[in-house]
Amino acid sequence: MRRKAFSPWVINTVKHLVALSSRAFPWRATYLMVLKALDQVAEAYLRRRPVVWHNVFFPTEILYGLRVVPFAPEAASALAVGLGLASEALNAASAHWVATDICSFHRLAAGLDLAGYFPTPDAVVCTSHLCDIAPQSLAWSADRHGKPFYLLDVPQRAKAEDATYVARQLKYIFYSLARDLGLSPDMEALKAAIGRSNEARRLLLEINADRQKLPAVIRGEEAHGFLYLMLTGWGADFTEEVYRELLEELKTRRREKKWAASREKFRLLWLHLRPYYPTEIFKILEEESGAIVVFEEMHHVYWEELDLDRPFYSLALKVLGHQGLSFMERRIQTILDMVREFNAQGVIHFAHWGCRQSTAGIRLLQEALRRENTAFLNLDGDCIDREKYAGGGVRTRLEAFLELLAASRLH
Amino acid sequence: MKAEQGTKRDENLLGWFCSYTPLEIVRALGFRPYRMLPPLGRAPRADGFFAGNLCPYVKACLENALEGRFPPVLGLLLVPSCSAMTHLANLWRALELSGPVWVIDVPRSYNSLAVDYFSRRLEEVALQMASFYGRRLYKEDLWQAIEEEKQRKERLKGFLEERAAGNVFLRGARVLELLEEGINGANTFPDPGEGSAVPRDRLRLLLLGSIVPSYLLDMVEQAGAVSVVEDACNGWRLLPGEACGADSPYTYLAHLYLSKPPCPRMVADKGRRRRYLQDLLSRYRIDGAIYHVMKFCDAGLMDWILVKEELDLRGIPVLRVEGDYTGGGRGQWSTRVEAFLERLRR
Ligand code: SF4
Ligand code: SF4
Repeated sequence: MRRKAFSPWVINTVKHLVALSSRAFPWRATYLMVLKALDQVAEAYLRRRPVVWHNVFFPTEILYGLRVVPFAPEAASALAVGLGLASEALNAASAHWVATDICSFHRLAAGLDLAGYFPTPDAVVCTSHLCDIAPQSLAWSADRHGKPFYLLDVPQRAKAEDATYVARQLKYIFYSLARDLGLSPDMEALKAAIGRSNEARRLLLEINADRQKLPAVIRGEEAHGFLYLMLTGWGADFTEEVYRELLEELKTRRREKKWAASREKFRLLWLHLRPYYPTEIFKILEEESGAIVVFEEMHHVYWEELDLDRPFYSLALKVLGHQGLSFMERRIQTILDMVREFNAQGVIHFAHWGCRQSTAGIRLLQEALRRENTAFLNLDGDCIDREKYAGGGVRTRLEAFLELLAASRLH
Repeated sequence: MKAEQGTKRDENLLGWFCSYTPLEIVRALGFRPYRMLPPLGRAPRADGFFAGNLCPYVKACLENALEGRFPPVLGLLLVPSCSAMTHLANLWRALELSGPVWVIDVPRSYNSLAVDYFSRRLEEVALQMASFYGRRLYKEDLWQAIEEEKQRKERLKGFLEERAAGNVFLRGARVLELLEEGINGANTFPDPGEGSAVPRDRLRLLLLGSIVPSYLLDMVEQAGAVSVVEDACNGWRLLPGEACGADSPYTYLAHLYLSKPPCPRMVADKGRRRRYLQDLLSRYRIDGAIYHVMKFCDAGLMDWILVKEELDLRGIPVLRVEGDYTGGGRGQWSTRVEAFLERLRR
């Protein structure tokens, strides 16, 4: 019965209701993004065009360039938590031998798919970098649905020959998908997607530059929602549209001195993701304490402008440019740069249970931040599974962290 | 941040971890490859460096390095097979544990693009190591190392296949020991007298996992069954694949390693892994299986599903045990193994 929650009819009704309630959104850009995201989800369910599942690190320009409908199970998991589907789907996954020790984004995605909530894929693509579980989980999904699976194998290094290897695979994936899905591999359409991606990148850089200014005009809790675009929207026309709207609003609010907090006491940098069920985290930080999350590591633009004449090679450089690849020094340096650029006094890493790539190397980061006199909090939890959330403990830890920040300011 | 070093360095030891490490290159450079396979045990110091949800085998490696319990190596040739291994490389460098870390990316698929890339990387890392350690690397030496390694591994393979077919018998723990000695360069092969009579009427098991602890094999034998195939990184996955004629030794090695018995990390090669398992199950009589999943190993946790599907299709029961590389929980395992075998006997 609940599966019908995702039917095209229901999605259209939801869209209609969202359209009527634009005032409920603190940012027009958020409202616009929700409408566009609903459009995309509806398209995936209506299946007028092929649906290709991808992980959130895959360069989606390839998919928009092929004019297929991209669908990211990890992002859909985050949305499903908000719709209250998590417990049922997590149980469905467990019943199918999916271990509780793996990342709950993928546990939930597997459960949602097994329970029939996801649109069936026509093909599945995934990168191998950063996250071990994504390719494993998506390869299994492709197998279950009897659809082709294409892995983009990404080395740790980013020299010319590594980029060539990645570029050749991207080209192979582009043409293979076109063949499998009965599409014509149109290079002009790919270039157009890359052009849109470049424009969105330019706008995001401007947004990020605005967020560096003091005081902040957008709260971290609000800005976090835009990560949806970062994870699924490169090459889409709506990404550009939403970023343009957001940039305008940021500028207007700055002109009008509408600040994120009546008194900004601390500026914080947020690493990794946040819980997608209701918690007090941002209330404690931003509302009660004036500690504004001024930037998220996930919003970092880690790649150069893409070259329209070398689409595959420049996308390869983009993939290889991620700060999380290679030795930890790279991620640490990127984070130290962000701390400086955003004038952050503290850093919070949300240590999502099950995510090895983000959590395992935290000790080295912690030491690097200590050397720079930047306060650091490693907050254990789970982005999806609310049963792993201990509200009381989180409050105690956040308050202790805020005291530390206050004390370091006095010094 | 600098940890204490081990004792005096062996002039020739080079450490490695993953079964995709091309040992021929290590030997051709004049090193002795040393597999970093620490004894089971707790890892309290490593726990201070790693998050709780990380592979306990990797933690044990760091613990033993921090405690100076590994023989000192001149460096590591490390395959970043998973996030845990990548983070081990990070810490090894940050803590300045013995020698440089040579990272070699091994593709997660076996196709022409992967072979081309892997062979280039092999050549590059081999030449870098030669230059760093001031050693010469001639192609002829590499071909010779390839030939020697091939002979050693072919003999091991022949023995393992005979054992799986039920023609020879050796205690499981001894088999793992022989494999370890073999890959570390020893030319010790079981002589005919070493094995005991092939036990008849015993349940024949397939054991799977990243690293299968030898005490699990002892347990199986004490409970009256035998392990006949170990699909593990300290078992059959050490055997070579097929390499056709190639002009370059690096291309040859790329084929040889990418086509070896596939492990769960070869995520674009799941079809080949399935076929490999199907082949094992059709070639040898297998009454049941035990999957030893290393805690927090994403590749293993997902491989379990694939293996379970394959075994269910054939009606072969499988027991899953979870290991944390401490050697603990033997009592509980042993009860479960006995109950499982009882079920198989009924
Ligand atoms: S949270 Fe970590 S483990 Fe989970 S999908 Fe994201 S990167 Fe992978
Ligand atoms: S057991 Fe799994 S997690 Fe551990 S090193 Fe091997 S592949 Fe990585």
